[in-house]
Amino acid sequence: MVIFSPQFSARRAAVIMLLVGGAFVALIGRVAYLQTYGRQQTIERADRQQHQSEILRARRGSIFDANGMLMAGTVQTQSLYCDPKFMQDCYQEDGKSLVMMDQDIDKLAKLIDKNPIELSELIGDKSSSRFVKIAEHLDDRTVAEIDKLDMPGLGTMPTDERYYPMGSIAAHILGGVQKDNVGLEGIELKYEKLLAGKEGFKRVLKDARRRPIAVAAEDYLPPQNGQHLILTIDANIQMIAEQELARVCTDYRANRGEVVVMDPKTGDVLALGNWPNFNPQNLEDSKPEVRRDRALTDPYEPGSTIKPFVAGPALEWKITRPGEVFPVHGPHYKSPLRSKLVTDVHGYDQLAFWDVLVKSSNIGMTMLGERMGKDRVYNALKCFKFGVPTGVELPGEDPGLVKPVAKWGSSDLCSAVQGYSIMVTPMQLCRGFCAYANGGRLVEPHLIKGVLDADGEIVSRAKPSALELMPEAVDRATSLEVRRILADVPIRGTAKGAASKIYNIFGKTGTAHVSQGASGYANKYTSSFLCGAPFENPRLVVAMIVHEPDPEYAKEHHMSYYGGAVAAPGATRIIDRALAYLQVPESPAVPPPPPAIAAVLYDYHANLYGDKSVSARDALKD
Amino acid sequence: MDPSIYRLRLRDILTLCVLSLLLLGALMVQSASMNVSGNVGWRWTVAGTRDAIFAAIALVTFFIVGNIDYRKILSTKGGLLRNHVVWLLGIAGVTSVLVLVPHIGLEVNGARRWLPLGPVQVQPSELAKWAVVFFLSWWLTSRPVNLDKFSMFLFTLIPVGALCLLTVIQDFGTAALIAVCAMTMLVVGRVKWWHLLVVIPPALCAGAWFVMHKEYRWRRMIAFVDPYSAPQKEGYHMIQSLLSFATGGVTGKGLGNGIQKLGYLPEDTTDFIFAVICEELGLFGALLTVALYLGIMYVAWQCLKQKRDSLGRMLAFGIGSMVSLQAMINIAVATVSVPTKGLSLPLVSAGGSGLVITCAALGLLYSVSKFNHPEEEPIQPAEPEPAPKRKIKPPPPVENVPLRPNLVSDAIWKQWTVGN
Repeated sequence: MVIFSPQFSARRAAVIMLLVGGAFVALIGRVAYLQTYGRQQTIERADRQQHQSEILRARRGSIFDANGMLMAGTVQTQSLYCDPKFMQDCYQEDGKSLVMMDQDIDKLAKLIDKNPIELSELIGDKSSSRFVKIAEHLDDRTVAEIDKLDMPGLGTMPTDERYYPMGSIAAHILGGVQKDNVGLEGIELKYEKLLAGKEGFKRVLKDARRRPIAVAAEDYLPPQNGQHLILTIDANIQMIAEQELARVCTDYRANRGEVVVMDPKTGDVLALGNWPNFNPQNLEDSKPEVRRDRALTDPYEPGSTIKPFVAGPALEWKITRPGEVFPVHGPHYKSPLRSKLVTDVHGYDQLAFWDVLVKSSNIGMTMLGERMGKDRVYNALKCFKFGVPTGVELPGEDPGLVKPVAKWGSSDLCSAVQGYSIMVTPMQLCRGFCAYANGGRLVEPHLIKGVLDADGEIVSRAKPSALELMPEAVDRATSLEVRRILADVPIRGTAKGAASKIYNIFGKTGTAHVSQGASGYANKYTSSFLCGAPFENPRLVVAMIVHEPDPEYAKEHHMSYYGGAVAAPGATRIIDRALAYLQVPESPAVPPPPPAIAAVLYDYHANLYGDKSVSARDALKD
Repeated sequence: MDPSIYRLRLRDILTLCVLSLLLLGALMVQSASMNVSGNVGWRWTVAGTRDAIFAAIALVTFFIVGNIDYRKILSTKGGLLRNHVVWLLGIAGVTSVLVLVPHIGLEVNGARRWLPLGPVQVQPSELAKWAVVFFLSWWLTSRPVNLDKFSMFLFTLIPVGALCLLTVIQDFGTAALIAVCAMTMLVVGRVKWWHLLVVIPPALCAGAWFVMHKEYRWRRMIAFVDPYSAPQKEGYHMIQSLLSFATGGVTGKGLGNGIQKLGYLPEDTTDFIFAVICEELGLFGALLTVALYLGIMYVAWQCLKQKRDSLGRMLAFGIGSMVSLQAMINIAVATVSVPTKGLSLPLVSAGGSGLVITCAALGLLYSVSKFNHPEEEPIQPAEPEPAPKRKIKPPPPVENVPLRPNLVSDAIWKQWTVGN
């Protein structure tokens, strides 16, 4: 064998090793690139793959009435969903058949109260889908029964649902929520942020099998549950008010009605109702018009109920006296203020100012208005802050309308004292009337008594300012005087039939024509009654407004459409029941008015001036 | 190099590198195989324990092999039957065939790569890889045949090619690695350039055909161009590896804090361990790993630079080349610089017997750095013998050949020729 020289090239080895070493350096560069610039394209994908974010829902706060009764709460219900593909696969396996699946779906449909055919169609149509929602709002018992069926591919998911245990009571105050638990109207809307709390989030690190591994501290924000509200509403009084309102409205075939009950000394709104009402649990069943809280949002021309608010300041400013006699002289009066005649329902010859209010004489008020002039009437209305929102804690409040005095024509003055050409809301009327019940102070109506945090600790407490610190609408003496005058309304006045047998009520009726815009006033009325009780120490003020009771229907049934006949009995019943509930003792009898007042009253007789054969004096002597 | 208290000897550098890589490997395999959904705290995982045990065995093997003279290990004296290299070649060949036989070879993930051998499993491709290195080291340096002849060159390629072909059936990546490594050794072994140039194109064609005719390999190549076209199938490995680098960033997530190993990154203890290292240790981990391989290369370079026997030089080069090439390809795969190949990161990946075999080979490098044999006398190629002078036999004497009658007279002939 021939041996050749062993050959080895160190230079070639060096070149190869340098190449490999260079490759290593290049790879390090590649690593560095992937970790820095290349990272920007991939990190998002990595993040999406490795983490799963979920929103932690905050529990919506509850709403309680003044006595701590739950008016709106949040309950957890279960939604049922299904994985149709998995379900079908399971039924096609291991000795089962699709027939069995149909049978099971029938059973399921019975449990969740659905049509079995529709349900199996729903599952069949989306047979390739992995997630179909079948039912919502299931309670725990139904879920347990569904579990017993042991169907594959079914699952439940908890959802928070707003729950109104009182049904439609206080519906307009609460308002209701949308599907996603966001307040739609009322308190739920006004205090949306407070009730909703703040939702948190969790970003969970997951492994490839989607098992949770860890949550970094910065990836977890616990939800802040919503705070609870305590309202000034008393659910019992609210219920009483709504029942009586509904009764009046249905009895008189009214279009709609509102009632506001307030505590005159604190301004607490004890009840606020609208008819027709709705159930906040099923908002889809009601129209948006019905859900309007018209006691705040829809101002109207109040008619005679405005008279005490002109009369009070007039008495305070010594423009008139309760005993001053107004020469009414019949049902028609040609005022220098306007061309159209001013009309009274009844004709009177002469009326003391006391009786101008008690009998609600438009003519008497017009005469007073002539004497006062625009500025004073305007100022009188402004004393009670008409035309300014009351600031009650509900959304959408309307300020009403009192035109600036510069824009008043002379006929506006004439209308204003009778309660026309100005617009007020029932809430404003009620607030104004509180001044006569509490000694002349203008309270601020409010609905919120306090706020609790999610754990039930008090966060804040509404502190009603002392009555003495409230602005004065009329002075104390005047307010007592007017209160005394108005206490005669159910005894001798326009609400004669509506006197309470238990309590002394002071109030003012109103029957306003409904304005049809430019075409004048139609044969439609707004009957209202504004009252407080008991007269000695007022605890409640009630404003009940019934819109458009059917006059034809009333005539057929020998009923009247006047405020004293329609709204006053309802308001009286509210007072009776609510004061009994508040355990207010029976009132003593009201002392009769000074004899001089009653003596002035002369019934006007059509023949008094034309046919002298019958005189009012003679009639009185009988 | 003389031992000195001031400088690390070459073999100490090698020991340090091997030890560090083994430690890094054991640590990262343990980390990558950790499962966090159980109890919190340190627990040895099954894969981690296994790898640590094998690393210990490998280290022992490294020292045992390293302290035996490499010339004794690769003894080629005394006929074909006592030639260790030939035996090694034979064993590698036989096991490579055996592993292909059903019921003997173990099939894992659709590839028959493992040969059960008692409690452990051996990858014949690992054996084949080193058998080729040792065979070429011996063959190229002692040159039992005249390699300048193309036929002899082809003869040299027969065992290399055979092992390559046997391996390619089990494991395309290792076969490619063997081919590339053999190529570098042939280059360094001073075979004729044109021999190589003739052989390379057919080899490339064969490789290309091999890639094309299996559909999954072809799809992998396509997926490499755009991994996001099949993010759940062929592109999955690459995307997950890329995401590991992104998750870790330059600073890394910290040892044990990797996320991609939690089921996202496939083969996280073997082929893609480098991605885990980078995710947890950041750029530092990458630099450390590469520096350790460069350290091994440095030792090999220092050995082959010495004035010594060419077998030692060639062994040093072959071993260094094989380890660094494998590491390079693995890292290139992990960084999605080349299409996916199933190659482990030597000494770091969890590999069981492969770890021991690699360490044995590196032990040989240790032995090369420890035992220095004198350079062979440069044997001049024997003077080419002068071409033997051809003895020209004198033509036999012409004896009484009857002349044919002269048809043309001399005079006419002369006239004819001279006249021109």
